[in-house]
Amino acid sequence: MKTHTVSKLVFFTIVGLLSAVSAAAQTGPFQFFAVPPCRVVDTRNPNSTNGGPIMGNNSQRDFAVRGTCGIPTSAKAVSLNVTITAATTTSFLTLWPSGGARPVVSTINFTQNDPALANGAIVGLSTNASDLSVFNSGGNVHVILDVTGYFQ
Amino acid sequence: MRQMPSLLRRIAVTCVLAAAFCLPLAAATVSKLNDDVLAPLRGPVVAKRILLNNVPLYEHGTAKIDLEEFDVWAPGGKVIVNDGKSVQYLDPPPMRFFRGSVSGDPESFAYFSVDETTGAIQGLVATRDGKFSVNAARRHLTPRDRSPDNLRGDDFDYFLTASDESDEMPMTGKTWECGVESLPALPHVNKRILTEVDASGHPIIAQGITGTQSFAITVEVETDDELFAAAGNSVSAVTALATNLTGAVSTIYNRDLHTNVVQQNVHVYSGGPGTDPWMATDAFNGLAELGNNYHTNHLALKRSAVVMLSGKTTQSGVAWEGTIGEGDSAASINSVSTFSGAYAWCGSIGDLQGSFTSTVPDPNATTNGTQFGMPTGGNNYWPLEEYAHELGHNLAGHHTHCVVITAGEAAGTNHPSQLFIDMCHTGEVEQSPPNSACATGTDFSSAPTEKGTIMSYCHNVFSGGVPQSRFTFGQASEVSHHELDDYMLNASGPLAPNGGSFNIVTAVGTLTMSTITASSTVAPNSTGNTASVTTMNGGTPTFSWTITGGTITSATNTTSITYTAGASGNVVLRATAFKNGTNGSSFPDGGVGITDTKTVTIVTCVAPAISTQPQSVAVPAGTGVTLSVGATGTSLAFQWFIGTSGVTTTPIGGGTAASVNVTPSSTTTYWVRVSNSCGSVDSASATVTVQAVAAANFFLLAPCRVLDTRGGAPVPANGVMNLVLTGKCSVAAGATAAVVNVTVVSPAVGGLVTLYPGPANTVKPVVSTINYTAGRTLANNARITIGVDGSINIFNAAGTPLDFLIDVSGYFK
Repeated sequence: MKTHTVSKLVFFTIVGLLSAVSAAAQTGPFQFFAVPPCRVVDTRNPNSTNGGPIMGNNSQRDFAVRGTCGIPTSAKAVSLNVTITAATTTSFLTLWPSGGARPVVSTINFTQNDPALANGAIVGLSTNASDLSVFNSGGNVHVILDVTGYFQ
Repeated sequence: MRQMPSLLRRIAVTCVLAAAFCLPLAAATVSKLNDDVLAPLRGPVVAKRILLNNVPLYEHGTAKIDLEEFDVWAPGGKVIVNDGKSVQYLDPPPMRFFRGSVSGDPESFAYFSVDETTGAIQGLVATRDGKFSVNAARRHLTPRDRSPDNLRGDDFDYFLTASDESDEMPMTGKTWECGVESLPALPHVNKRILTEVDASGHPIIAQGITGTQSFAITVEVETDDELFAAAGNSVSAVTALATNLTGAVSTIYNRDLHTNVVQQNVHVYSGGPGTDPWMATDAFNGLAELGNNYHTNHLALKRSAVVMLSGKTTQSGVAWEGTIGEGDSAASINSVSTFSGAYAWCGSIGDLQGSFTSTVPDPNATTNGTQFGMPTGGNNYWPLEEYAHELGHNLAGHHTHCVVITAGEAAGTNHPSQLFIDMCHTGEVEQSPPNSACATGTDFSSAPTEKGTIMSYCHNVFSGGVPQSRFTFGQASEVSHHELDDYMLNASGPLAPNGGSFNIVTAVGTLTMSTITASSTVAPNSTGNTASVTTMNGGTPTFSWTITGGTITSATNTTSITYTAGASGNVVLRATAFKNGTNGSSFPDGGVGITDTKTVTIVTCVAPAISTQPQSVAVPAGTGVTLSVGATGTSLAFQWFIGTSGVTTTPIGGGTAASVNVTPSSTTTYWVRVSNSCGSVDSASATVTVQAVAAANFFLLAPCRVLDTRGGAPVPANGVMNLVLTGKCSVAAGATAAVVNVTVVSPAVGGLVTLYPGPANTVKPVVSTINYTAGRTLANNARITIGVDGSINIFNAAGTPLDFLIDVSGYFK
């Protein structure tokens, strides 16, 4: 009985993940375009689309990546480095193309003991004006995104 | 036509009073003061303000003292030293001055000076609790300590001297005598009667610096042979004494009367007895002599008043009333013809019962150093009290004590109630009738029991009286405060050229001035060199300039000057801005002036030559790059241009240094012109080729460590390492990006690393590739953009060198 319950939970999780991945996997192939490294999001800046405020507990922000830092509106995915700082608790971020359901994945995991921590990622972009979604699981945290290239 | 001279006579000549004078004063309290408390006075001054915290004032707790820096010297002021054979004009000694008040005590004031050569600090703090003098004495140095390094402020012991006990000395039971007997009563055309009243009949009190008007008066300070001798035959000691007295007087006048007092020149006679022109042996003849001398010899000298600080043991002072702002007039004192005017004569400055230097009773100091500092308590407050008092007479202040004006006093030309006059001065027409009992020295009962003010004769004339006076003209409603304020408010301004002038200054907020803009080097004997300042705040000030090592060839009362340099050495430029007088006078108000000094080196011009040409470079689109030129020559100026060398149609704004950052959107050519006063040279052209962002395919590599700094050169602290990637680990030439794993190895401190494309002169973007904490080996995966030259830059933002690994697993091309 106990084993069965666990299996069911795993099963539903995998279904959700596969549905998101399979959609992306059906586009492409893409080519890579390297751009000079460029900071596209920094929530430490004054409040704006790609600036503050700090991300709160269990919250989502949608950022506009295309059209800045040399990323064209035709870009389908972006190569970036995600950096967190000023975290207040153990948490993780999820990055995914905006507009879709949030996938059950993590892009970077961190704790309040990390002054700053980074991870590299390649993330798809939607065609919405705000094309990239970021979810913070717990506490407050500042998010910084630096791009180094894009795929299209 | 003048008011009569008004005398402050410290002691009468009867035997009774002489005996009384010998009574011991209440002992002054002395203790040491930690230098740390005062040390901020030697440090940087932010916005001209300094806050001293926790200044101990004996049993009165500690004070927080808010100070502003100000100037005691008028622009161009000199120490004029006459040794009997020649006259030297010396620049004022390097001193800084601070004035302010004790937080929470509106009647308090604080004054400090810092000797910039030695670091010695002198000061005086007066609160409602008493007077506290700060005096520096140099500790006797042991032979081991006699190094130049020990000639610092921390070699000083500071002594805090309090006179609060003597302030409590009772006045009853004293006998005394007034000292103005036979002077003619002159019509006082210049008397400023307290006529201004508001609708309710209350006198209008002038508003000062915090209100709408402020004033400045400039004092010519005279001394004599006797003061020089009393000062240990030291020019610097006499100068320091006069300067500190003027500074403390200015602090009092600024607080009570919104009036800055500055000294123009201090005259010192250093040749021994007979050097000075002052033959008189008493205050009256001294005042007559002073007026005659200055009227005859210095009629055109711009000044508000002349103050004599005499070392003669007259124990008295005398001054004309209501004379500042007016010209001289013929008068006589004791049948001696003279000229009345803004003259004040202060005696016994240098010999107060033989205790002028007021030895600081410190058991640890075997040598007392700065003896001519601030007064140290008891009767030694006499010089400051007398200076402030006699100058107050020049400002139409009468002998008063601190009694509030009645309506009747405020209304008329006379003062029928008499309540506010000391009632001892037979010649002061305000008294009707004079108090004959007081005037004959038999009645002291009418003297008030409260503490006196600066203008209170009663409180100053008997032994022990000086410390019983407050260093104030009283509150705004009190007589002397009102009288002097009213005089300043109604004065008409300078009457050139016969002396006695001052400015009425409209306060326009804090005056601020830029630093001097001028070339840091000039050629020997070069002409037409320029220097300029601007004012950021403070209305339309007046300017003055001085120069050493050169000659100013333009007018000096403007924001910019031209000058001719000397043959060698340095040119020192000094600019001063003053708040301007509303009366159109060119007489600088001083006191509220601010200055800046710039040293310009005289060098022989060497024509520019280019040693390193700017280099062409190719970069990815959107990348900034730094172009640089190496050049030799003196005082080089640079201007970068867009275009081929020699084409000057498109200068780069702000491109005036040896290097320039450019971020062209398309391929662009640049060059730079290097010039100085003896020529110019153009660089070769340098082209920044912009490579468009290109589509690239991914190529997978076997993982390969392309960088491992361990055992070799780490990434420098706060520095950049340039690394060529292509050709290593099978990364192909022409690759636009690489897929890497970067690792920081056991970092000493936390920090971050930024990877960005080469070449080395690429402008670093504000991004990060990995952030890490101290001691933690950490990795991150990244796709890094490779420069057109195949290199990347590794920037280490930490203050310690960093061991760094780069493992490549693929590239894009």
